[in-house]
Amino acid sequence: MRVTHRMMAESVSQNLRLNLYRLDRLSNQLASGKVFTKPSQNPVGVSRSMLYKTALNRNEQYRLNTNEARGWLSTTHDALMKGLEVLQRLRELSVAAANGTYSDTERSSIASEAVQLKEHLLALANTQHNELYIFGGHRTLEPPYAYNEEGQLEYRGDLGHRVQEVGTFQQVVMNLNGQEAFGGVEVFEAVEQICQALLEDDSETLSGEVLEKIDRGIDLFLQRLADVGARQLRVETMYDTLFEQSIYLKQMLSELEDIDYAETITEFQMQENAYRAALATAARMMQPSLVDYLS
Amino acid sequence: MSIFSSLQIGKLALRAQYKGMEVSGQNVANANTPGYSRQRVNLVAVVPGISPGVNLAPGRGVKVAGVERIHSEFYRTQLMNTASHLSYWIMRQETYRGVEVIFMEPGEYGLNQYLGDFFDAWSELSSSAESTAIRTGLLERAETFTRAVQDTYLRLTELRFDLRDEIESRVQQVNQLAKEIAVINDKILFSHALKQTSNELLDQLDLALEELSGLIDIRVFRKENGAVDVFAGGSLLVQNQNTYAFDVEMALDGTVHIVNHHGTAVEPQSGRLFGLLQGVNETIPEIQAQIDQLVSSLVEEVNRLHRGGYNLYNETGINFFKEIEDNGVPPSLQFALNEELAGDPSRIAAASEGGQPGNGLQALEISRLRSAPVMNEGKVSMIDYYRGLVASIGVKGQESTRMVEAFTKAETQLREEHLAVAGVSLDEEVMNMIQFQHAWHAAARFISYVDYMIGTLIDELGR
Repeated sequence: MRVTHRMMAESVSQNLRLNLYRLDRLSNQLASGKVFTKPSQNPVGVSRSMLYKTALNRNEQYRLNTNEARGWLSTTHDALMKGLEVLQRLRELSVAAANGTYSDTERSSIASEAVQLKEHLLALANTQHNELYIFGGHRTLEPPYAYNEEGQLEYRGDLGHRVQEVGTFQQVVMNLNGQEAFGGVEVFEAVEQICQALLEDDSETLSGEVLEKIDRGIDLFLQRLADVGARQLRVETMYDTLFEQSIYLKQMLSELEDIDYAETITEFQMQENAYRAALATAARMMQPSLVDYLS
Repeated sequence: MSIFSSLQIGKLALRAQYKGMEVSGQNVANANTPGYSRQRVNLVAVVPGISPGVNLAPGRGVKVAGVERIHSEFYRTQLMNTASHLSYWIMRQETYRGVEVIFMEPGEYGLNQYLGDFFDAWSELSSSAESTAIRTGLLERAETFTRAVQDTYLRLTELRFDLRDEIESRVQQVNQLAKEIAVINDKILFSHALKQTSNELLDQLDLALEELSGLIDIRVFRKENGAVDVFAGGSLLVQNQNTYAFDVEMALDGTVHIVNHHGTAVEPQSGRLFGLLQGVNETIPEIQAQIDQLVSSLVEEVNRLHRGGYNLYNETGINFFKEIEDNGVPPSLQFALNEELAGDPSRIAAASEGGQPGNGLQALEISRLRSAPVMNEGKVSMIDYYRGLVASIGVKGQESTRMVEAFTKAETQLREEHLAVAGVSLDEEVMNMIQFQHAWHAAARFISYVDYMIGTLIDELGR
């Protein structure tokens, strides 16, 4: 093949251009820390990276949601625990009052304790979490338990369930409405009856019907506590799962997008050597011609 | 054959060797001229006349038969084809680069992020339907999202306008080159009439043709007399000294066509213009149509669910986004929040039933749209649809990058092959010059010897 000077010049500059392009690509990778920054550099990779990022963001939202559910459930749990203590104390009081022989003073102090307990239970039923009434179903902005004009306690909430999305197609109901937690006003009626019976010293009622009602209340609370506990456990598990998933996703994303520094730097150095070699060759090759050797 | 005619041989030799020197000089001078093909002087010995009775017919010297232009028509044609393909793919690569820059994927400012954020906001609202802060947050995210979509769409339109402007100027360039070719044709015809050849004109012609082939695919018909007829994109562009200029026409739907002087469409198959036309008429409108599709589905689905929900004022049947109207304005540019809602976050219908401020079930339904298969006749979710769009842009961008690399390699190789034939080698020329110089010297010496011999004849014999 005939070789001309123009040809050599063109191929030298083409080679230099190619070397420089590779150097540039590697230095971009080193600077950004990413293997690709544009869809055309790796369409499949970019598509997967978008998928992982969406999943990560979604996971983050699920974690926030899970946290919210955690808060609600633990507030509900606390309220029920305290409610349980109140009912148990009331039961003790009514049993004691039914069997024992107390003086009038003692009896009236028992009665006033019972009234206090009743108010405490009412306050528990109107427990707030982040300024929302947790036992009102979907009616969370006003106290679910209040007295009407006739002095009757009534439940103003609804039967709503607050559903929290804690994973794709995974949801947790994070509240108990008044019907579920207190049987509407059932528990309060029992308590009211105890207070009345204590005030009126009606030991027959205290030992009979009322005791049964209060026991039913205690059972209800225990049942609900078990229910809430189970949900809490599920939420905790979900929280951990989401956390692990996030770590896993980040790892996948990093494996996909991030450069291996050791490898890229080595490659960069090799490329740099190649570029230097190309330059040196070019410098030697471009200089001489026959003219140099003629006098 | 007399001794005097020997002087003639010397004279012819001097002239021929000098011509060789001149041609080498021309070659060296144009060693770096683009498009220059090296030339070679063709020397032939003069055939002596036939003289009866003369046994040893002497030679009559040397003559210059012509100055030959050394090049390869095959590589030239190949180079032009390759140039057409290469510039087509370069244009396509540029288009997709432009599109990629607009989409900004993968990243935090791409639509993927905003779309995800939008659904996340609904998920968040579903658990805290009473919260004004979260409602306001949702409105803000939705608004950011609509703006991002509009912005993406408009920037694509701008890119399309840029390409359209370039078509205009490139067609002007085609017409200009056509004129240049016609002028060269004219000169070639003139010199042909004078029975002369001009290698330099032919080089210029090839250069102009190569430049033209980068813009549009051409077919060249070379004639005996050296002039060419050129068809570009299937339409006659140059015939002898005449040009038939192309023009650009824009249809009502924004598509652009190149037309010839008859008004019929020129249909390029490669070249930069083909890439430009494809970008304006297909690539960008198709991408925009996909965004429109996404927006239409999103608006329809979100509105449908939102209308079924109740807001904090216990109202129902209100749209979340402004309804997309069929009024010729692209859906993406109509993409905005419903004005009734814009200033008042309490109007967001998060509840599945009225009078339940804590009910976020409808919001939950909306957040679930994210993975609901509502696109492509119920096969693909919106996020996947968008991901598919970005991936297809990537795949096509990657394809064009690869094709550019492949055709660049092919072009480099062809250019080398062509230079191997037509390029000037300085070493070779220096050798030629030395040879011509020696021959010229010898011829001069020959003349002086003959002169001496004649002198001897005249001076010594006449005495």
